[in-house]
Amino acid sequence: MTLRDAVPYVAAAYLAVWVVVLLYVGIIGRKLGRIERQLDELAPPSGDGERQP
Amino acid sequence: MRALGRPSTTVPLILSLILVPLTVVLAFWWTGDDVDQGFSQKIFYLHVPVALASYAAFGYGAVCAALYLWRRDPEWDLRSYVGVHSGTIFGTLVLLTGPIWAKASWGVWWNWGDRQINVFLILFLYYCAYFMLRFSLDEGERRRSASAVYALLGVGLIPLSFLAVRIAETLIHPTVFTSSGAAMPDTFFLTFLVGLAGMLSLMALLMSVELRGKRAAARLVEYQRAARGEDA
Repeated sequence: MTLRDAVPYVAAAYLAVWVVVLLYVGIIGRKLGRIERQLDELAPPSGDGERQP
Repeated sequence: MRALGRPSTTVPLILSLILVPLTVVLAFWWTGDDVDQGFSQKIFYLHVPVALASYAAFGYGAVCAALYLWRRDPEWDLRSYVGVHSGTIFGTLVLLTGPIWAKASWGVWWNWGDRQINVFLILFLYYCAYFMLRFSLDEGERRRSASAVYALLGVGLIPLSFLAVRIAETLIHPTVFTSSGAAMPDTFFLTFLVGLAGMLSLMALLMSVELRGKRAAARLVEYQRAARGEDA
């Protein structure tokens, strides 16, 4: 196979990996952001050190 | 849920940001073209490290499953789940890059006669079924135990998949790593090692981020239950 013929296959393999990894990171990041926002809304008051006398 | 310690994201993040781009630079600008496969051999530096990272993730999932069955700590179940999930994501990448490389190098997308790729497909499908089993059961001890036993049983396919290429001795899937060392030039081997370290770092990063998300989700459920006045 010549260099010209091989380039699309090599590019496709590297692109496929980056697309999947970026999709995975995007989905996990969005989920984590949503959960942390909900946690901030629901979290009970923090420890004694922050209480006013 | 008792925390076993928060996995660091900083170290794998830094390593991934250095090693993964470095692999690309070394693969395309340092190593020469392979005599047999030519330019298409560049896929090797991506495909094989991704496959080994996938095995590592499934192995990690199985070890954590065994620790769950021993200790009965839900944290190990969570870690096992994250390991299997990451292994499946990386397994998807193996099944995407493998056929592309096969088509470029050997002219076929898939060879049903090759034992290694077929055993890897079985391993992948086995772990895909893990999610069907896990999510078909209600949350609790029964689900955790069933998932742990299933994850642990699948680990036997990892050495089988790895050794199949050596047992099969097919021409289409040549053995590169033998007992006498790596059958490739030093530049190729060093680039491969950098690629492997990069993929393992990336996998560790994705796993630690996902684990953080799963812990936060578990905490959210506890808070929601507490807000409704239910027992946690």
